Amino acid sequence: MTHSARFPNLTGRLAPWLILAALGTCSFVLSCRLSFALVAPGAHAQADITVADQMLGAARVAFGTHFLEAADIYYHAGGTGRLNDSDWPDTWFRTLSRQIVPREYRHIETDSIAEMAPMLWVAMRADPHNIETYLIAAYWFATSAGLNQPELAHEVLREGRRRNPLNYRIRLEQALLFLREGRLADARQALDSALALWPSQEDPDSDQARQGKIYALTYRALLHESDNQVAEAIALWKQLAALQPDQTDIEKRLALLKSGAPPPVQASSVWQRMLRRSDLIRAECNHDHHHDHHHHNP
Amino acid sequence: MTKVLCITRIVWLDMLRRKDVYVLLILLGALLTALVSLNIFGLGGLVVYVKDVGLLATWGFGWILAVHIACRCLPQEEQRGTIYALLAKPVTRLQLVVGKWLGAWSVTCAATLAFYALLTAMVVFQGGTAALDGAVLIQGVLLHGAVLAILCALGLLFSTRMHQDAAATLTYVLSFAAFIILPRMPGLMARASGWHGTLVSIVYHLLPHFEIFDMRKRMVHDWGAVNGATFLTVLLYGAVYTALLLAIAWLAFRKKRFSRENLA
Amino acid sequence: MEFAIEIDNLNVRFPARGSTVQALDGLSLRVGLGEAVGFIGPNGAGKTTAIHVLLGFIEPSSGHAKIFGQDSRQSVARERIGYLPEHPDTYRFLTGRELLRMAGKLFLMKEKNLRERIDAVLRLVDIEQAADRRIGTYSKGMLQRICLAQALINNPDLVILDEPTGGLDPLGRMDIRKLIARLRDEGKTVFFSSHELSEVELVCDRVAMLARGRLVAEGPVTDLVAPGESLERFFLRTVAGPQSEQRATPTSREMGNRKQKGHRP
Repeated sequence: MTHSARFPNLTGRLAPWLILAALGTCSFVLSCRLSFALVAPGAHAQADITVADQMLGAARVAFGTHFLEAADIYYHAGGTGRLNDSDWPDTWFRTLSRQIVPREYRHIETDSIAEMAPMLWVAMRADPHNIETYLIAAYWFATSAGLNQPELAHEVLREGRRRNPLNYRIRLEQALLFLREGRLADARQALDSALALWPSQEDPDSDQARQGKIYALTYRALLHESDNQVAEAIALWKQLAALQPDQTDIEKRLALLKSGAPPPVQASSVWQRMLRRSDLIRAECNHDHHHDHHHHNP
Repeated sequence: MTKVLCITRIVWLDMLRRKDVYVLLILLGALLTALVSLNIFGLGGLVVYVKDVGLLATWGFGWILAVHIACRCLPQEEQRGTIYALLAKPVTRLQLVVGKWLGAWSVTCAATLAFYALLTAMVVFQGGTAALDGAVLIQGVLLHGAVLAILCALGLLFSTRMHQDAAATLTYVLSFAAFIILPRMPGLMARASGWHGTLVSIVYHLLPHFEIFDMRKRMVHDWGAVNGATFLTVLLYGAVYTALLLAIAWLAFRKKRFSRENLA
Repeated sequence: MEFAIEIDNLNVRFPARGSTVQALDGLSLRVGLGEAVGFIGPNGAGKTTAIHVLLGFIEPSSGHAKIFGQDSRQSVARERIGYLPEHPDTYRFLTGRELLRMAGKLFLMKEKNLRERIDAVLRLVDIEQAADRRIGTYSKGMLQRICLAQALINNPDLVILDEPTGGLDPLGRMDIRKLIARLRDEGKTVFFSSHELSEVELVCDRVAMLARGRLVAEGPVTDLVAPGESLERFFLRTVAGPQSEQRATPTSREMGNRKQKGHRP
């Protein structure tokens, strides 16, 4: 006796639903692959094809962005803070809605930072080529007092590097992490690698690429200083001065180095101060443009 | 009231002996178990995403059940021809409409309560009792119940004059639009003027505002309970809206001539 | 004199594809207490429409219908009625006993009376052994009988049956016929429409014949039918004219069977 003969009702009842589910999945996959190919044309042309790639095609970029935003919403305890509706007429329903749905601006407690992890985890899997996701995850894992999981941060960045071997930003982030931990040799290697890979797929004239290069050069120059490699440090400070002609501090430091006099602030103190400032900038939210807060460069 | 409850009981028995609710309950259980068992970065005790996804599924399943059951109640009586035997008893059409709505609503509420119970159990298992604020949960469940009341009344209203599939499709589309588009409509109102503005304003005030019943964010991110006056105002709005829809449903059904062939 | 059914100058018009269909045209009819009246007529004559007006399903365009002196549109008028619809069907997810309980509750019957009455009607329609089974498992004949049982749950004074033997085998038809005779003998008023004219002849005291929404003949069968003539021959002569009589054969019962398969309003 066959299975369907023994369970004729069950098979009969399930068959239309299974067909519907199969058709639904197929149409979803097709629509993802077709419609989003226009939005992100090169997004699926990566070497390592994952299940997410197969299923979602270029649409995974959109899903990745969605979950990254979801992590941001979690960070703000549900309050999206997108109060761009202030010029809308105030209705009775809006007044009620404001009281029901939290809109106030709030950050989750530091020991709850881990709650963002699932959204970041999904975002990484949905779009493994979105560098921002790795950087944000690594930053929170390394710096949050509640979490304090630098090993996890390293793991995330290693995964990011594996998926995006030619991206300088991941190497730069690794360097910052090594510097925080005092692993100077690893930091040197990561910074050299970041500078070699720069600008990766970014436009070299873009603000982000420019800022990235400035930070990589600065940290590397400071490391040369701490290693007493004055000539190498001077070469990098010169590059920095060319990139930021209005920065008088660079000129002063360059002059001191050239004269052989010791700088007033030691290199290690400078990078420590830079790391602290970078943390502050990242954790800080500009309430009007808060959604950009995690794009701040170090 | 006995007659209304008797009609309600028919809806209950129908649902209990079908598999729909059990299937959704198993689906939710499977979903929550999968969420809880995910070892995300090796971090234990994460609970916000379980609440978030679980509540989304609970709302989705409640929505499906409410529309599915409410839109089927009356057309099925007509299709089976049981409406004749039922109305040949000393039962008024108002009693029939109210009985069917009460049946659909109470079954959906019971199923939704089961969903919430399962979700609460999973959340407590994952994050301990502190993970869920009891007062917010009660408020959220009650307001969710009010949404289901409106959905059931809306589905029942459409089903008085159309086939169950057409009624269900219309209810799904309308309620989805009300949920997604209506909160953004003031933006349109700000730009529209003249008769266009009046039309947008009428649609905005006429359609049900489900967004004011949605306490999921409060539950997920521990924002605490809503103040009593706001909570009661929203509940009252839900009750009045449901009563209004039921009154229209009764008016539409009051003099309806039944035809089995048209619905078969 | 009190009547179980009083229909006065009843008109029912339906809008249909831009025109109007006159389903009932000045129908007047009275059914006395304890009478068994057969309601006959060709397909589309308006029998079911008239029954639906009596049960308050349809509002008449003009005229009125009363049940035991009460306007048929009021729900209280249905408290003393038992009704078996044409092509009866019911909630197949219920057991027979659950169905009868639900029907009894709609008449606000007390629990003790209801229990006794359920047992009595189950015995009456001879379906006791299947009372606790889901109706979905019943045969066509059993379905007909459980539907009849729910029509009788309130011990009605007036039983309205719309084609009660439709689709039943000869044994099933005989059972229903016996049941109608028994109800009549118990003093109930029985008003039933049927295409089985031989059954009507056997069971009814009186017949009312409808054609194109009008009452074309009414009275005791013996008064209407000439000696040696069958009700069927009378039906054909009255409804279709003398020439159609020629088509009637001694075995024309088959015609009734064929007709009942046709479309009804």
